[in-house]
Amino acid sequence: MFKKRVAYIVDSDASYRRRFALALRHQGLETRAFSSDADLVEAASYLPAGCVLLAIRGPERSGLDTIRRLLAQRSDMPVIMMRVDPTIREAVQALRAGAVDCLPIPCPMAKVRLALDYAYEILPAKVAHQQFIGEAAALRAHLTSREEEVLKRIVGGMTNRQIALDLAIGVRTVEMHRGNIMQKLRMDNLVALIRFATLAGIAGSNEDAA
Amino acid sequence: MTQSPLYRFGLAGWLYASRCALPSAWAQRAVDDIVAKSIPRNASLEVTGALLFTGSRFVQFLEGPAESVVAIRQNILADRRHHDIVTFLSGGRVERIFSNWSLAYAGPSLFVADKIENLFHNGVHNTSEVIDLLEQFVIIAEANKP
Repeated sequence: MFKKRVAYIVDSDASYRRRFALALRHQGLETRAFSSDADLVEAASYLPAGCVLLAIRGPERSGLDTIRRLLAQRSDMPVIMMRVDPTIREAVQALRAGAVDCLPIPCPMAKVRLALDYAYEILPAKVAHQQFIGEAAALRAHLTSREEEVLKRIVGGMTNRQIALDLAIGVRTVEMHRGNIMQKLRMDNLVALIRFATLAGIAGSNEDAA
Repeated sequence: MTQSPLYRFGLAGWLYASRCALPSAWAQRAVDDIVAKSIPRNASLEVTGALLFTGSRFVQFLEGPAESVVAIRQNILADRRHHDIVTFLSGGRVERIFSNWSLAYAGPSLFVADKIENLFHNGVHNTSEVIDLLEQFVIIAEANKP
């Protein structure tokens, strides 16, 4: 069922960590164990995509920070928080911080598998999305600051004429910028442009909003 | 809360769970549709509360003027997207828990799904836990708003 699926286990409890890793390997997963969440966060950018099983044994706040820092680096990795007797509040905070689920410690393997099955199901789409974000950031670097100003206004729904007025430049100049943007980004339509702006984190601007 | 003509009917609440009658591929769109329609409708009826969707079950808590809650309840009972509607709490309320209506959570979490299943097994004893679950989602979402 699991093929070359990597699970990253984070747990400060050494004996539990070992037993859990062994149990997951019996399920056919590759495992890598970390004794602290700091170790995982430090290594995160070099790791192949996989699911993170993050046991939080200390105060919950540190766990939320770890989830956020991890996802800031690796939005492609599904994170499952694990905790002894998680309260509703703790679980909801973890989910709101971006975890896909919260499981109790100890947890029946059938339930761990159910959560992992879902996580591995969404992993390819998340990896692809992370890749798109990377590509969009690389393409964005080719734009001049003026072109980015024009792009923000295109995405914000302004016409060439409105953009020209807003930036106090000629309509022909806007058209030229628009052509250059399309060429640099290798795009030929507005929908693709809006999608690019979203991935690159470029917010649309509009004279009404300004 | 301003005094409206509906106020004289008193405050009522309704907590129910139902099964989503749609295949999962369509469910997300159905949830989006329900949320888009419910926000203005509930606001105009002065109904507050929260909706939760686990992928197979809906859970919703509604509170507001009795007449409004009854009207929405009739709508939901006639809605073909819901199956097997089970009421867990219904009747007068002393005060509101929610200040508006929102989607608390829609997702695959087993933690959330388990809490909802508990509602079916333990019934009325678990209603406060489920309302707490809805409330926590709403509180934390509010706190995270920029």
